[in-house]
Amino acid sequence: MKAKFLKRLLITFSIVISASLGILFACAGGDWDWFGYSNFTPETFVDKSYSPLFYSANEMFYGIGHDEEYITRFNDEIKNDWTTYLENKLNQNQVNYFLLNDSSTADIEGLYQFISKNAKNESFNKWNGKINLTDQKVKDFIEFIYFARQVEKSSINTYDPWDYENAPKPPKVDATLISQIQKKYQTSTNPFIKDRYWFQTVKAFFYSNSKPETITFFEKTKNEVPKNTLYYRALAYIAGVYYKDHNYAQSNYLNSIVFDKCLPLRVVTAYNFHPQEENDWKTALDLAKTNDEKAALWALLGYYADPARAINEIFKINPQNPHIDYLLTRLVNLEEENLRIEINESALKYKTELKNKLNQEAISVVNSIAQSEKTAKPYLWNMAAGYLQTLNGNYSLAKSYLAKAEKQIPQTQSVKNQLRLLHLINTLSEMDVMNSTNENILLPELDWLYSQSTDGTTGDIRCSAAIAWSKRYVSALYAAKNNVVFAELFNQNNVFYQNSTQLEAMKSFLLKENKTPFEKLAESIYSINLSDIFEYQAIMYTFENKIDLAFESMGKAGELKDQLLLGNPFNGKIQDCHDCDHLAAQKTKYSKLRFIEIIQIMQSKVAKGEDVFNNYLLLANSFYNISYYGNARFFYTTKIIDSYDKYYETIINNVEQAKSYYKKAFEAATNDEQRAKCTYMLAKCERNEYYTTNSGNSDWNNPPADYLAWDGFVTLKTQYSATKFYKDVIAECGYFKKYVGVK
Amino acid sequence: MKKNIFSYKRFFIQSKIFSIGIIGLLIGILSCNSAEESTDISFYYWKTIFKLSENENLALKENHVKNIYIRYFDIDINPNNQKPIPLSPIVYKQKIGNLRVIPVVYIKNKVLLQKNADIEDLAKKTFSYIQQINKQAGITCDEIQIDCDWTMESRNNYLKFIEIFKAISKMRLSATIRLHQIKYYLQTKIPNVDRGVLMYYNMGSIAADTLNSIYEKENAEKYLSSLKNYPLDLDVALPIYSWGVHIRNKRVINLINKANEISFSNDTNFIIQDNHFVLVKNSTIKYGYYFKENDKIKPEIISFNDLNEMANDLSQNLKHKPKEIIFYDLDSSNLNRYRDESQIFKKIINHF
Repeated sequence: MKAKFLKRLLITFSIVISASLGILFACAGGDWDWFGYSNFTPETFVDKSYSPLFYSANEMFYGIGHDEEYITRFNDEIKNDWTTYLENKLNQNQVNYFLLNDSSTADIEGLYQFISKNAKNESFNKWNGKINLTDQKVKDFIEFIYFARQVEKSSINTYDPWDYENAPKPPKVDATLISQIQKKYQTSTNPFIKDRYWFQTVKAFFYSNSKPETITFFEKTKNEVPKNTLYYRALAYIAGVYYKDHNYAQSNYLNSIVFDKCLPLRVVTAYNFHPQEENDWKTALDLAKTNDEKAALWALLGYYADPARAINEIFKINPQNPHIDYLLTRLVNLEEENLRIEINESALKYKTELKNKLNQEAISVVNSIAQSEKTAKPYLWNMAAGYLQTLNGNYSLAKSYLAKAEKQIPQTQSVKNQLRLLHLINTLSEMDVMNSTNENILLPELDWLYSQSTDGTTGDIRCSAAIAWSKRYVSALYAAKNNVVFAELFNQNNVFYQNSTQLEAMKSFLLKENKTPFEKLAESIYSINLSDIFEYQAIMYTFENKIDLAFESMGKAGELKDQLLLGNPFNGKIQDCHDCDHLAAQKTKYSKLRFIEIIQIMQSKVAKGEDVFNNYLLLANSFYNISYYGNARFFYTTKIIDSYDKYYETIINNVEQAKSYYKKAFEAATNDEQRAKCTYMLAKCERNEYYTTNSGNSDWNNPPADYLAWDGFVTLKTQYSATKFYKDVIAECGYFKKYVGVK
Repeated sequence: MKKNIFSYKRFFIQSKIFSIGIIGLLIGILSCNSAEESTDISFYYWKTIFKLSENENLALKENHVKNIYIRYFDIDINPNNQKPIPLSPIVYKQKIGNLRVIPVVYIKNKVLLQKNADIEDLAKKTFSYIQQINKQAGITCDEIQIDCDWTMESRNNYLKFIEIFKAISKMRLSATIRLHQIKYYLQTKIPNVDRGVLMYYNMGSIAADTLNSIYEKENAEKYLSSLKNYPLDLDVALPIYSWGVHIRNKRVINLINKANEISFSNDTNFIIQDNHFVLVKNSTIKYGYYFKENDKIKPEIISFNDLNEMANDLSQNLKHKPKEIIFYDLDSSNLNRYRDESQIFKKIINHF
């Protein structure tokens, strides 16, 4: 396992801190689906180098979680630099092999021996002929990698994290190596090579016992090298030396320069920026020599703690600075997180809560800057100001900001989509009532919104929040008008069908011909169709033992009527085991419709007095199996029934119908074997009723008993112990066996 | 015998009406047995570098502390490969002297929530890591404590870890036990350890309101009656730490270790309010935290009275008298908070 020294270990956790943080996060309302709350897509507006620093409610760094590129961040740049330098003297694979493949170390050492001492060796034999080892550029390359690898032994170390003795002691770069590399820097005449040895010298000092000398060397030589990636990487090391020395002002100041100038290191510098006291911060600001440097420091503080304040300060320094745009996206996203409010009762109440909770500082900062029109992307500020005004309940003001933005936006699809989304949110938020005028206004916009990807990660803008929110909002407006059907269409609620008037109203709506375009839209977003409703009705009729109605309804359930039950629903076993019943060989499979039909047939047979015991027993088994305890739970698995809803739970846990048929079978029984069977089946029903009643009431300290001496057990023992069925029960039912005391 | 002493003592505490003669008799009985039945004072040491300050040394000496429970390392999940990894191991910068060290390993619950966790491997590595630390510091130990806030989902892995760890280490094992694990022990089960240490703190949620998340009597009372039913012998850990709950817009945004109102009293950017909350007057940076104007810091501290109340309640509800009370945690700033009260730790253990 590779461990990276640069990567700081996570903060130590303690019994106290860690135990409590779980609660802290829970209180903070942590939600993995954070996109579900955001309508403002930072990617639309700012450079991707800021991306890890976008606001994320649940990741340390947005989109990447943890920064894992400490070793590999510059690989492509390094490869490209050397490939250009080598002018095809090595092919791309060879460059990659020597630069980035750990297994090339032995070859490099051998070739270095050849180049420096002309000692021919295995590596020489291996590569001679493949690459020109007398070419100066090739020699430079090999020699450089040789030294870089020596330093790398201290900067990248391989160790087992469970090895306490070795883990904390990486080897230090020794003084001889530093002086060799430094000499290379001093004597190299080729600027490309010289620059690279300069960086290696800084790095070597950093990983040596002479860490403070890193600064001395850097200060002495910094004007001799170009201000390129290597320079800023070196500067990041210097910031590290100052940090180690508790000079947080210098460290933070240098980090801000790197943040500003070296885009790949933005995430690293943001992580390392950490002022300890107000004085560190003030001193860092004093150290900043230019406006750009000051703005970069504020940008980091904005990321670290206070975007609104940082935006204000950067605006004073330079409204055109790109960091201010990045911070705006963070401010808006933070505000969205702050405003996670559900529409529970009415749209009006929801809007009042939003307004009350909105951070007025954010509104005021964004308004004043948007109005100034001085930033590099005035459309971004107008869009943000418009969005915040929507949340603030000032819809006409929001409209005017968005209208301004419309005239300023670049014609890219993502920005256009973002603007359209914010317009939509404002338009809908402004509505307090649903009527045909508003439906016509909304129709094209909702049509557009609902056709967007709901993934939230692959689309070019975040729209899953708006999709969910708009449905809830529209639903709330319909609910306020007691239009229960449309309230349900826009916000599906599993209690809706518990009311038969509502159910019939929905059927009428779905059956209606010549629907208006808005009605068609509402139907298209609703996941339940007529077949679902007929299936649902059939199931409920079955539970009520209204089998003729059940059969008629199921017949209208389209393909749903043909869904096959997983086991034989007429079986009644000693042990309830769904999986066993589902796996058991079954010649005839029963569809939901056929199942109801057979119940209907059996009921007509018992009415005529045909094979009464068997038909009653099978009827009992049928009703038992469609209860929660039986093998045919699939019978009531539909889009509508939520088996955890109390209303449905009461129905599916109920075994009254089964009991009544077992009793009738018992009365129709002609021998003790049959009676014993009915008695045992009644015991199962009694047990189920006990669990249904007691599992909800018991607390953890008093769980329900595994079994009690059910009446059926008592009767079976006292009256039917001579039957074969009695013995079967003892063989299969451990509880009964315990009850009768058989060892 | 132990039971008798305990019940006499309850009588002593509850009734507070007795004659001098009875007091004398009781004291006589108590003191006769104190040699073998006394409750010891111990401490948790929860910093990553072991180096005792003068103050900390003094606390150990004055209280005749024999046992010190030192956090050796945490076990977390390496975010890069999702494997368990030891974090921030203790570094000894000072000899341990005559103290008996009980290494404590804190296992984050998420380590044991992993469905495919290799528990045997984890137990072996954990023990080996403790041994490596001991070897380097020249320490021998005969007991190890495992600290984990295990849940129903991680329970089986945790119990298995304890079983295997016990078999591998062949040492006396103790485990921290949270209040909910006591109340619901039928479900959370009891780890196969030689004794448990009841963590009598962290009972409430950390919130912006005025309640103290470290200790609130009304929260504690929900669990006290369960103590008698818990089958495992329990010692007790009591809190002497404090922190500040950093609040912005009525939401908790941070916990600031060891912060209390005094920490902000000399800084004009802060105003101490009547309810001891600290109000941020001007945005500023302090102790490595950013405080924004109008933020609040709610100091959560444990007073001497709180400690007395805890000890009193516990002594009346524990099944057995604890052999030791472990104070969390040994740290100068914690000790300083109680400096106006002499012999505080002795006064607390006298309740037991």
